[in-house]
Amino acid sequence: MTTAVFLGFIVFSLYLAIRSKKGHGAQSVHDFFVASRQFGAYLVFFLAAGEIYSIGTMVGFPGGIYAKGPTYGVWFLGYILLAYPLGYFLGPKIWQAGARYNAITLPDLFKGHYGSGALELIVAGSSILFLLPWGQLQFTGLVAALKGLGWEFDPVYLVLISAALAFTYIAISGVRASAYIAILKDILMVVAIVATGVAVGWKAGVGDVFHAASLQVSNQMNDTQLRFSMSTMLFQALGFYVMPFAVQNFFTAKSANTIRRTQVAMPLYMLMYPFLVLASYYAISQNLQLASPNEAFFAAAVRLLPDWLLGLVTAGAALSGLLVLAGICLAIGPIVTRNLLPGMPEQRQKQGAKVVIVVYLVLSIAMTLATPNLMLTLINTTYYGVTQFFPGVIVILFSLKVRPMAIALGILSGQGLAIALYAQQADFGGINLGLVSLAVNLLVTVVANYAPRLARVQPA
Amino acid sequence: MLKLFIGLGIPYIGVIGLLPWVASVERFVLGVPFIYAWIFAWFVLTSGCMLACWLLFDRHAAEAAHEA
Repeated sequence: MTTAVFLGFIVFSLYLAIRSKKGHGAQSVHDFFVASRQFGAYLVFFLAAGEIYSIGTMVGFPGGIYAKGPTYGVWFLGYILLAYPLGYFLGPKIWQAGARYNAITLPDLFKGHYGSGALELIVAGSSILFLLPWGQLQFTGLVAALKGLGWEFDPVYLVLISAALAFTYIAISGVRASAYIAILKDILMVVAIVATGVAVGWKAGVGDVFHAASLQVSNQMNDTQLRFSMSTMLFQALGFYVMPFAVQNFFTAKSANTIRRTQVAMPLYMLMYPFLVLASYYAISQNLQLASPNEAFFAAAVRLLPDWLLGLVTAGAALSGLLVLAGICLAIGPIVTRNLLPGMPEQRQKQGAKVVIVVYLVLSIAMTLATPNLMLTLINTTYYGVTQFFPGVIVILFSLKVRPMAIALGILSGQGLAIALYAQQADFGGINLGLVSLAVNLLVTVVANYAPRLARVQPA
Repeated sequence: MLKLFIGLGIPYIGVIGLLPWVASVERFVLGVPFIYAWIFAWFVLTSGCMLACWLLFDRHAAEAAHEA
């Protein structure tokens, strides 16, 4: 029964993808990747919610709470929440910049504003590099979700099937398919999470679950945890809307006001999290023995829900992973064909992008199978690199005059430092090492921008 | 400036700025640990802050631009 319901929803999602193509005929490159800037507030909302609340929400977040204590989840909620006010103010400007340079990708913005091929290449290359852990995040989650369903397949097959599905969605009609499937996914995800949360509340009692769990884990934070939470919220909120796929989502909007109105509504979608926190605490309070912390949410769902509802929960989780994979692919494809291989004619960009997407999927699959990680750590890793674009994006949005070489040096030193610190497991008393790298990035940018001018002034 | 304070300042102060205090409170609100109750409340409050920005400032700007 569980499997039948699950497969039913997957088939339905494929039908939606095919439906989305109707009436749009042969798609241009712009239509395929950013829907020719035609989406209204609802579609932008569903698409954004669809790609933000990835499988990290249903699998990674409860896993993090289960593995590292309840306060570990706080930064996860905080950074997403605080990204929206920033998006309210910066999103419309990103949209305008996109229209100004007729951009499809994030590196297109850098090319348009700075007119520097080198900088464009740096942004394009490092975007792809730091999106690999994001893909790994989705695959890890998908394996956990499908295992929760009780399928005793080898993870390799689960991962390969997932990749094939994500590719099929976008091969059908690009971002239009994503937007249609996003509606289904956003609804299923909320229903799945609320159903599990309500089941916990019903059978175990809200107060009882929290009290029982609180006997085992503290609800307070020590100083190191506090510093980590506060710095991570700030750092990742800054990085949230310079994510290559988030920028691209803004480009699908009809107008700047479409974006403002979506941002106002975005935090309300987060009202599903209380139910999710309840389910994670249930896993702690019941002392459930899990093969991996990533199964915390499903452990609760499997114990409390009837079969058919479990199928729905799994479909919601799987679609959230698949949709985000599709979203990343839609971002990476054009980055390679437009920014890394600039000589490619527009008609061939769509085809080329599809080849790139397959390569990206294979790479993240290899990483997933080779290096298992706690999912929330993967989120941190992507942000270490992506947030380093923030200063450069601000310069673009406010049309400031900064030398492209200064921005390029800043990004490279920020990302290089972040990788080095991460590899060495450096410790700054809990402070997010990406934030430290961002400070260095800014410093290098400022120095590199003004140093040549000072050098010219001094001899006089 | 006021718009930036309402839309950006208030949520950041509430969620990041007050976290040291929030994390030290040891009580439950309707059965939920205070730290989670606090952050859940900000889901609604943050949306409210942005709504205020939209109603007080940006909606008028949008209408003015439309009529012009």
